[in-house]
Amino acid sequence: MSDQNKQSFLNQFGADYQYGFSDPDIASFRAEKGLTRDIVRQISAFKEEPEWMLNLRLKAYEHYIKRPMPGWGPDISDLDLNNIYYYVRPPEINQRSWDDVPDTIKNTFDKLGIPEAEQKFLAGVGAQYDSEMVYHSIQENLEKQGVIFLSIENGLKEYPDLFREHFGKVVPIQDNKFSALNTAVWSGGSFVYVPKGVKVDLPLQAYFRLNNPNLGQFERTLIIADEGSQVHYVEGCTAPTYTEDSFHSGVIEIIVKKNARVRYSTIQNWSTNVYNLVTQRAAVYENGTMEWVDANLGSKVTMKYPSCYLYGEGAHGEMLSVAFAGPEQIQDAGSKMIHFASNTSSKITSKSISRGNGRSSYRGLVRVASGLEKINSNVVCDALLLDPESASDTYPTIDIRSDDVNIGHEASVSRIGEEQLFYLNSRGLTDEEATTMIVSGFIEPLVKELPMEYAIEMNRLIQLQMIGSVG
Amino acid sequence: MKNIDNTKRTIMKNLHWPEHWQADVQRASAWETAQSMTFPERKNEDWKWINFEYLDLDTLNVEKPLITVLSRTNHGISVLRADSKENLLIKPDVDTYSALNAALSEELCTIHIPKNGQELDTIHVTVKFNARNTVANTRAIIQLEKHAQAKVILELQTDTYKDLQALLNFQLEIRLDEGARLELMEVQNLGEHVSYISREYAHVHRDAHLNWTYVGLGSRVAKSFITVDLLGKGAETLMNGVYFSGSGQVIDLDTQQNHLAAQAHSDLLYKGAAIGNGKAIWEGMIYVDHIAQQTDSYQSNRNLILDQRAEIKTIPGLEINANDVSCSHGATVGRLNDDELFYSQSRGIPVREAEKLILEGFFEDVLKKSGDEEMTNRLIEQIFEKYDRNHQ
Repeated sequence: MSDQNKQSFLNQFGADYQYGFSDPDIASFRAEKGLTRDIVRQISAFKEEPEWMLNLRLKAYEHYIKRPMPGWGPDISDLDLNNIYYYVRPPEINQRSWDDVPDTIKNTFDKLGIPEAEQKFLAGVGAQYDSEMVYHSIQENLEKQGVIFLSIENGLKEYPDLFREHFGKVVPIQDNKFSALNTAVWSGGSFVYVPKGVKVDLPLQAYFRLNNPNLGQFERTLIIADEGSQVHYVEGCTAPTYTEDSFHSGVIEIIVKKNARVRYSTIQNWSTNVYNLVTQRAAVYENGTMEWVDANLGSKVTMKYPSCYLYGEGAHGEMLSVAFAGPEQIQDAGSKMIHFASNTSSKITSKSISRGNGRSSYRGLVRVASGLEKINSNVVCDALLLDPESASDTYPTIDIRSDDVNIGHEASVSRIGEEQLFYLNSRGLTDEEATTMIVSGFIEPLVKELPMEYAIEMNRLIQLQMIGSVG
Repeated sequence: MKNIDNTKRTIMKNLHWPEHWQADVQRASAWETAQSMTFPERKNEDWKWINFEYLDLDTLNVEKPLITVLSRTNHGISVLRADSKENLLIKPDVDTYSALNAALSEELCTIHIPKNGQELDTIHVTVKFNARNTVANTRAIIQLEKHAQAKVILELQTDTYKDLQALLNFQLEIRLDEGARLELMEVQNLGEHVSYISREYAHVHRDAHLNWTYVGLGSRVAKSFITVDLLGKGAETLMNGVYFSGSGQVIDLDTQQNHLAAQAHSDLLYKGAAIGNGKAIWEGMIYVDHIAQQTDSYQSNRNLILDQRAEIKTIPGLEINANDVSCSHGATVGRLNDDELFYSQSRGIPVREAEKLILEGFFEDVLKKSGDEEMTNRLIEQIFEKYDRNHQ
């Protein structure tokens, strides 16, 4: 595609995708396309892994091969799993020093504002480029308190026992086809451990970038919040705009121990050629709290249902999500809250906006195991449809096997009211400005939960999505 | 449905099929279709919660159900041989059951009200069968021409034989032409050994109105697919449902509100309860086509869970392809309110009576929408009786 074509192609999308630039290919190693046992071995060898991990990868690979594609959800039949690079290694990895990061990569992250953000707002930063983490750092005082924030590979090397105790326990291989795939080929991601009673005030951040086309990124993140600890982890994702599809399939495992509190925020802004099929799950123990804050703006197809398995009495799970499906996009997002213990509660708030022929779906599950007492769960979904071509679905499942419960679900679908538009018009706003303002108000409950610089970013992204949305 | 399960096929072959039907081309072809399909399994999304695998079809004989029409004026109502397949909304090849129905149903009940006709009397139809190791297939068709009006009560009944098994495979087709109005109450009160599958389908045309009350109390395992297609401007349906599942029972209902034309209205309220180790499942969908602007559609499912061993599943759904719509749904699961029970006790009402009063209020709310007070009272009695039977 010529540059001119590319530009007009982009313009059809109504908004320029700001992160659509790509770097020259500087990969130091690239596995062949497609996935074989040998590639799994190769990845493991590159990472100099212990044998148990290689065996786990191979076992996961076998399961992945056997497992059929999901029989539900959006159509992902165009995703050609044989036309994907499963491992692309950027050159020279020394994660400690920003100065040592190769210039091309550094420039990319500079454009994305990463090191600057680190200085100002964050307790720690990780950056992943294609298959590997290229940078990882954490504030000294936190390190002194025993907080671990490493690339997942270094987590495995430096804390083998802690790692082995928790890895693959929250999301087992058999969970689904893509979690099996991730376990077979995982590369990159973060390893976080917060010791007992330590509260990390500023968020830890990871930034994911796909540079190569036809690439699969399979980051794996493991977060362990020990008793009474507190942490907020933020991830952001972007990729260049290619005509060929890329594939992102991460697995996030979080363990929230007694009285701990974890918040995990995602701003997913992949370019619209990325399939984003992610498994995110937290195991929450006694009086622990897990909060997912999830914004899905980019990607071609997203399938993502962050979940909380509430194992301990008094555990609480929460999900706050916004999805924006622009032209050609499918956002199939939702949440699962599984109550395994008495006195547990959960809350899901989902907001979605569809524009053009974009389709956003809420797909969720609230399950209460048998023999439990005092369970509360509430789900609220609101969908906003901006034009006649856009579409929205809601598929909640509520499965209750105890009698002492109080479960509610409500959903509504609407468009922007003509009176609202009329009022704003009368105050001198154009239709587009007015619509953008109404949409910003609609997602406000999520935006105010984000760290400041993300909130600003989020508002700007929504504005970009909205350009060309009217008339 | 591509793979043919050989074990199931043999069973199907053994199902006694009356000799004299073998010359009937349509039946033979439906029979052929039935044999080429496997029975739906849990892998199939529609059947993920239940199936009839426990049924030993080998031992079942085909039985002709008894259709009785209790109505003073019988014009327009007839019990026919089910040979004519014209205008069937439900095609034989939907699944094994629709094929079996097309192949095996011998008699059907048709209610046909001509243009501008008004049936002032309630038309009361009962379908009864013996249900002793038998399979019964039958069909009811209700057609109201332009501006016709009718009230219909349809009851499905059998006695209970604890150690026997039986299958009732029922189809209901409703067609309401422009401006027609139908009030329909359907009561499934089969014996608790009977397996029940029904496929029910209504076409509602311009300005027509369908008030459809579904009551599910009986059977061992019941699966109903209840679909309304709204096909013209101003078409309207109220879908009211009451289902109560006791020990040993599974009641699984699928409802579908299809908005296929602009400016139609649908409003669904289904209320379910489960007691003992009963399971009650409801899965609903509002589908709005892209041409169906100015759709007004609601869906609400409320559940009471009356026992620690009981199970409730509720799966409301929206698929919206037009933007100028007002659609919402809600679902709740809860138990009897402690405060209410406490209050009743403080006024000297024993817990059991208080629970029944609350249950009555819960269900009456829906049943009253049918506009039939006598039936409402009778059903409340049956619900009480069932409550007593299941209460330890």
